[in-house]
Amino acid sequence: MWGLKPTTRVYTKRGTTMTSFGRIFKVLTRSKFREANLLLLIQLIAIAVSLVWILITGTLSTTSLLQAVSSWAGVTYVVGFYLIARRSEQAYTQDTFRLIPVEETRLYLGNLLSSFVMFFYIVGVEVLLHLAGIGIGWNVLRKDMGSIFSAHPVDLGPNSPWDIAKVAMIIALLLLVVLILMWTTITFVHLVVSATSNFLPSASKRLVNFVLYIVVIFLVVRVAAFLIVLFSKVTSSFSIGSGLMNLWLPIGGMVLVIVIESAASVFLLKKWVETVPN
Amino acid sequence: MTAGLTLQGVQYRHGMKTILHDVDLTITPGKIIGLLGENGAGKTTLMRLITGSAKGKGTIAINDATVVGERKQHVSFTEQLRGFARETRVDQVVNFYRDVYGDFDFQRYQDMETFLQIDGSLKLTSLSKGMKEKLIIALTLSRRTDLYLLDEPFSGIDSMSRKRIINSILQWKPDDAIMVISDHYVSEVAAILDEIVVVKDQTIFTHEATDTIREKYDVGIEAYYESLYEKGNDYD
Amino acid sequence: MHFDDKIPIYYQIKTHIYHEIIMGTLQPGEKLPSVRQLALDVTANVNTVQRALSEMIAAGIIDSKRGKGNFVTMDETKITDLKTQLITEQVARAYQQLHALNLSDEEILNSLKHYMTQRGNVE
Repeated sequence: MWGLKPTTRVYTKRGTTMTSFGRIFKVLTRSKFREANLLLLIQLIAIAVSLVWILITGTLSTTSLLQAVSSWAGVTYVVGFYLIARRSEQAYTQDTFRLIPVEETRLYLGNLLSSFVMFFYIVGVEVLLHLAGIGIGWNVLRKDMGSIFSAHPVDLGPNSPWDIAKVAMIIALLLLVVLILMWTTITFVHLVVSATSNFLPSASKRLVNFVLYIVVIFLVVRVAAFLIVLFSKVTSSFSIGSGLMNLWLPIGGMVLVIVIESAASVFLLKKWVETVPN
Repeated sequence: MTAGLTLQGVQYRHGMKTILHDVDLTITPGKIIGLLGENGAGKTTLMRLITGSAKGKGTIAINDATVVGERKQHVSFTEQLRGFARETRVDQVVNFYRDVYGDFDFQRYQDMETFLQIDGSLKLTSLSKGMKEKLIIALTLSRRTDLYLLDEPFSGIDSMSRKRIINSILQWKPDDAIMVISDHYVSEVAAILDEIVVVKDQTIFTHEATDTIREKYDVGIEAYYESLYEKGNDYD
Repeated sequence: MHFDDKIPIYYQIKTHIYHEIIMGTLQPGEKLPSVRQLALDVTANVNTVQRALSEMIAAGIIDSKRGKGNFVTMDETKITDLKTQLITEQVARAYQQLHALNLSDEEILNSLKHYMTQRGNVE
């Protein structure tokens, strides 16, 4: 009745293929990329509106763009972090992602790496915006900076520029590790709650989950803090560093926590974490 | 090597309740199976256990693959596309499938897209229920795999689309692949089923070939199925 | 094709094809469509169509030529036998039902004649 004829096309041969890390990374990044772009677009609109506002109130100058960019950057980072984390967690509980034939370790690492890349995509755009702001207001800024430096000459003291660069690098590393730690902790808490709630009564699920989140967050933060402090104490007995160099210790502690949380999360994914039913 | 789908001693508890227990089931390659049962009987749960989306006890093997990760290579399930943002376009969803499933056959998808009259430029949020179901069927059948699980593919679908979907199944199911179609209403698919599996009382209540039912009991599949829910049925 | 849910589907497919052969829609020696095409034509499962074909092959009505497909038998006596068999089946069913109504053979014959003339008038 449909005039349907069996197709004579030769379709691709059936094959058993696990999805590669590259492909899983690609699709996870793409889903975050769209949201990141939407966010950045909203930020650009906000900057434009701010500039128009300044124009109306009549104090527009060459440094106005830099001011507008700087004032919106903080919100963008926070919202960006939230959006990326939310997308990231969906990959663990939605069939769209969990049916993909990929080992849990790869899914987890691909997801974490894509979050990381996307966050630095946002950071990169912010840096460009700041550079644009600085470029436009350069003449004014140079004069201001010049007067600041001549009024308060920077005293490097016994530290060479190399020392300062090293300290800056350690601080950057610290921020990076904190960022990753936040993601691995969010995932770990989410997966613990998701796995545990399967064993609890289905009735009043929202309330049970709420209480569960409070308890799990409390426990995870306490245990993580304990581990970081313990690691710092144990390693500090071997080290003789001083000043900012001591930042290595909490960094090491946090890396330890990241590794433990990641391993536990992968284990939970394999054994207990179910997807949201159809 | 035992080809086909095998479940042994499968149990599943959720929210302190037993949903399924003592599930033993063997399906040989090439069969089209009707998975029947009332709403909430555990049909979807059974499919989710097979895909690994739900975690239970017991052994589940598809062509000897028992580990969840490996099993996923052999099974294509009608997932509801909820991992996508509402603004995602149909062709972006298709690209996602092409990326993550090595066995996704784009040519097959295009043939089905034409046959089922799917518009690739639409956004997910603007699809009607029937159109979304057709898209899900096309995506699910476009993978060249061993087991297809269609979870209530006809719910909320007009009879014209239903016929098209049934024709797609007959047209595009690989000969030795198993297809499991769940429904709580059997008459519309009865003619294309090889066997029916009825989920009742938290387990597999019946598993029988459809033509055997017709020959042995001289009744239609629908009448047989309904009789299972009447007291003192005489088909035990 | 519309199926009766109470009768095995393979049996209905078989009967359908037999009718086509007797009516001459399918000629002796004619090649049958592929299994999948038949499945699509009647909206049934490939396995069920395969079962119907196997039974027709076993009955000698269909010849299966390896690698070439399935053909209606060239043996006309087999087709004649099939026709006789199907007619007998139909007549036997009608006869038994009428007989169950306590009609004598003569009455059955008369009512049949009567029906045929009436039917001709109506049309």
